[in-house]
Amino acid sequence: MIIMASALPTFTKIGKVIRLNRHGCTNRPFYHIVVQKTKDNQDGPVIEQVGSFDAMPNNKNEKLVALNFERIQYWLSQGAKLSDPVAQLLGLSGFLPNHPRTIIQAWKNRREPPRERKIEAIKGIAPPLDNPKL
Amino acid sequence: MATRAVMFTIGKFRCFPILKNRIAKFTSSSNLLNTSTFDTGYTRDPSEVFFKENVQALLDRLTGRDYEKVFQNRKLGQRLEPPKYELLTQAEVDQVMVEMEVKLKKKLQMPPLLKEREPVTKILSKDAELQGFDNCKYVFIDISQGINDRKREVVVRDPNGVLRDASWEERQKMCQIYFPLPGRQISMPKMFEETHLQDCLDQGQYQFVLDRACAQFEPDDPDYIRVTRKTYNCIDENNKFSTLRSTRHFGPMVLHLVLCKRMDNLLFHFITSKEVKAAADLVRLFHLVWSDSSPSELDEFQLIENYIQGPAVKKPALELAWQTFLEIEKQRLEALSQQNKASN
Repeated sequence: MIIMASALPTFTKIGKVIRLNRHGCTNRPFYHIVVQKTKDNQDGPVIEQVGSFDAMPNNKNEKLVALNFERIQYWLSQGAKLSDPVAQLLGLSGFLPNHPRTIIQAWKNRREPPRERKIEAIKGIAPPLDNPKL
Repeated sequence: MATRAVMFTIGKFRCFPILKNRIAKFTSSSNLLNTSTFDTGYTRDPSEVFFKENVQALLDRLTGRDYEKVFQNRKLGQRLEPPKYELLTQAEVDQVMVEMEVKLKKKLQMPPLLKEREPVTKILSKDAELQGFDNCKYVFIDISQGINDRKREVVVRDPNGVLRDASWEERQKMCQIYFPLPGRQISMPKMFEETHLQDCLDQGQYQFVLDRACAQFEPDDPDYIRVTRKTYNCIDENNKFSTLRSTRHFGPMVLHLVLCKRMDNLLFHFITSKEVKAAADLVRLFHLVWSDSSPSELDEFQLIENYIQGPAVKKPALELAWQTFLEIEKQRLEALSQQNKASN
């Protein structure tokens, strides 16, 4: 049987991906959860926004995540891939199973609390600011 | 920015879980129309009575239909427009009146009296392996289009790995952030705290407080119930029933007073303002709520008399008012009959 080249399905290496786009401003990240083509930059053209993730906890110590599950389901059915952070968020929300990265991170945090970086005061010059983030 | 004129649509008159009948608790005051600040609450589920058709019809009749008051220009931070004058035929006028009737029904739609909601306790998953993944909780909301806010999925992942349904407060806050309703703030306005609420009520701002509570809270929110009951009791103590007449809040207030067995001030108000029909409707409502049957008397005067002799709490004042009213009626009828004789 002769198989013509044009009869074979062609796969492009550029797929669609659901990932976090960083918005917000300096020292204040805010992520949009978007569907984009893999090759586009994070500030490039966006096919659809399917949610948002606020990485800074609010005054009730909550991180707010909005997810349009209906549209995420649609794009997954169309073959979109998930980036790791988005997959982790979907795992935490219960939509997908828990991501191995979340489990590993939790284990690491329990074994040893995250290191706090401390800046030592230099003699003769003003002491460091009382900022826990530095 | 003050209030929102219409909050509830027909769709929100949904079926709330009907709980078992509880024994009604009531206390009574023996003082004559005095303004004592006792709190007669009730443990009976008001939604069992509120949604009945005959009760709704009675409350509708009691609310009244003062078109001037319902459609008056209220200063709510929106742009006011000058009135339009049009020349119409009688048929067109009738058509406009029909449309106005529909608008009026919408404006006078009564916010429901419900029981306090039960706290949310559903746990979806307990993942001990996720303990300590972060030191703050993650709140997830489903922003799919076309879902009712009460059915929207809002879940919380706690730092101990438990995935649970969000509490009512978390849920309302998230829905307001992502799907804001006009007139509603994300956190409870300071106005509804006890001291500030008392200040507002002392100034007589009953309709403002109730409208804002309507916009801010869901009807089964404990805060909504607290604010509205306090307002209704305040109005009852100060006899300011005319402020709420022809507004959407009059019906729920009347039902609240009937359930508390505190309707005597209102009955006194109706008798002294010579609104016999309204007084009779109130007594009928009382019988419907407490004995679930319509009274057999068809004569309105007899109905009211039986109530005053029977279940009334503030008998002396009511009897006095009723006797005064009957005398005035008699004199009026005599004057009318003399007029008729003279004209014949």
